[in-house]
Amino acid sequence: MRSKRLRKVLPLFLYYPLCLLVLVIVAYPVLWMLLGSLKETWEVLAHPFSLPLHPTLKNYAEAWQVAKFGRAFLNSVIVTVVSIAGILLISTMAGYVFAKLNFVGKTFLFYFWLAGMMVPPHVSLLPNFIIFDRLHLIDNYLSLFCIYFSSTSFGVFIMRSFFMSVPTEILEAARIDGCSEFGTFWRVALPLARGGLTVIAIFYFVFLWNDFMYPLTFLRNPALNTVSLALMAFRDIWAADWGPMLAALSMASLPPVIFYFFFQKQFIRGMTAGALKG
Amino acid sequence: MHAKSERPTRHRRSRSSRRRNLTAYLLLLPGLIFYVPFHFVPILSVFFFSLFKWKGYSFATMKWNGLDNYLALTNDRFFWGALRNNIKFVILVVVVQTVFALALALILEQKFHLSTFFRGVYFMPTVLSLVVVGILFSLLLSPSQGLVNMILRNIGLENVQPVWLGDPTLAFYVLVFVHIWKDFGLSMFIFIAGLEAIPEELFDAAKVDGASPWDVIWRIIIPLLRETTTAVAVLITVTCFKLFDLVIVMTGGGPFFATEVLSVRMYFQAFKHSRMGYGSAYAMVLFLITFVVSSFQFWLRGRGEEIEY
Repeated sequence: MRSKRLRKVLPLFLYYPLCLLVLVIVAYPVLWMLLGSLKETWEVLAHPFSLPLHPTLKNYAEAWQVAKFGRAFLNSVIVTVVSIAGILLISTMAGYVFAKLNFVGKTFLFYFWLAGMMVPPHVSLLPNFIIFDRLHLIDNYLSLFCIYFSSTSFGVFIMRSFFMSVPTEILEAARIDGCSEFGTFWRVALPLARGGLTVIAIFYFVFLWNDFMYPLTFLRNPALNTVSLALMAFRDIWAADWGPMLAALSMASLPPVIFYFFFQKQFIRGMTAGALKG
Repeated sequence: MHAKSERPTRHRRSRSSRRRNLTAYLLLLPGLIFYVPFHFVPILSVFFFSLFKWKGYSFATMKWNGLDNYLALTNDRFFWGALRNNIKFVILVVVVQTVFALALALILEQKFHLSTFFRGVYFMPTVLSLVVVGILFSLLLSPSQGLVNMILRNIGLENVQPVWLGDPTLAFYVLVFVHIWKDFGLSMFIFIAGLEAIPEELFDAAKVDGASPWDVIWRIIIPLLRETTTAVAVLITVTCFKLFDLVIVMTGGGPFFATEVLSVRMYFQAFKHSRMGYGSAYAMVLFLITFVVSSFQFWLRGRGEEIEY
């Protein structure tokens, strides 16, 4: 239903200059980063505005191997993939239960779980650290998995609303046909609520891949560095070497940016939902 | 919003329903196993921790001191400084970002050549990490080699070469700018969704009545977007109180504590000075502030102003 209706009353002539100006401010830093990553450090400094004269992937090789950014990249992939898998599993199961089953304590449990979204993560950071310290999980990805698997409130909430739109009659029919309780959930309801999986997978991907505070607090051993931590270390040690620095920044940004350009609609939907409900 | 029973009550005590009860608990179990100990209990225990004088991380060093940490907070000028910075940050970002996002939404809600492209690009910073964004802008604003000062030199302002992140006043505004740079796309899309929900007829009627664009904006759009605007403002407020990554990456709270905010101070108290009790008192203040803001949001929704997108 998007239309030209405002144009009925608003003049067009101011749009382009303003939009272009904002475009430059938003896109140029990122473009500079990507182009700079293909230049040698002296060229980044001497010709910051030009296109790379001799595009080279040297910086990437250097960042990946010498600065051990490759290790951090793979670490982040592992942490992100495992965490998303767990979060999806937990959220679909709980979302289904809250949408379609009746049991004692349902309303209480739902709001109890939902309340987790209301509190910023900083608040519980100190007790979390103490807990993992006692469990000897500092410097262990299990601490990250535990914390991420516990941040499921948003996922549960979204999956619940997707399962609510699945007609109850279909589930009853499946049960009458002899489908087990679990089978009704897994084989009948879940395929009908696929859209919710995309929304939360995207939302959590952006959150997990970019997370900084939890790795910063729970990981000390540089071998376990995630991308965010590696970038910080990189900046402290390689401060003057802008070429490899920009390559590392680009590598950290490329997964979300590439995904974003392929799944723009789903991203915008997932992130706005996350912002408004979360 | 409310969980309503979908099954008729007569089934409630049947065997199949008891089995369904069990299935429900089994499916909830994996989530609760993590949620309760790692999310819920920590929120409760942070209040408990804040009642102790606690140096270091071992339970043996905990000493009960009641509300002394909170008393100490009121006498801690760095606490008030951090709180003031938080509030200043929120007010600036809420005002600037809301107005800016609304203006862009008004423009881009209309379809014109490249409008979808503009929208798409404006949203892109939202998916980047704050660490990347923070480091990137630190490079761009580097005093001698940075792009920004180079541009200033090229346009003849050789004498205007600010040390962006080294100046207490400037550093604060740089953080405000970078935060808005990263976040405004999200607000813009929420506004666009709100605009799309305004019925077409209103614009036709305005046109027929010969209303000026200014009238349309001020008398139709702004009043009708009141709820969306509140939602956006609350959202920005919550996001601003979560400010942490950007400060750690770009300024570390400096120069001269000019960019220190509550979350950062809490972190330093706990992990730099290992004062867990005092740090927990900071966490409680953060908790209370977000609690008030969230309750406000809930109260708005409860008044039937729920907006669905």
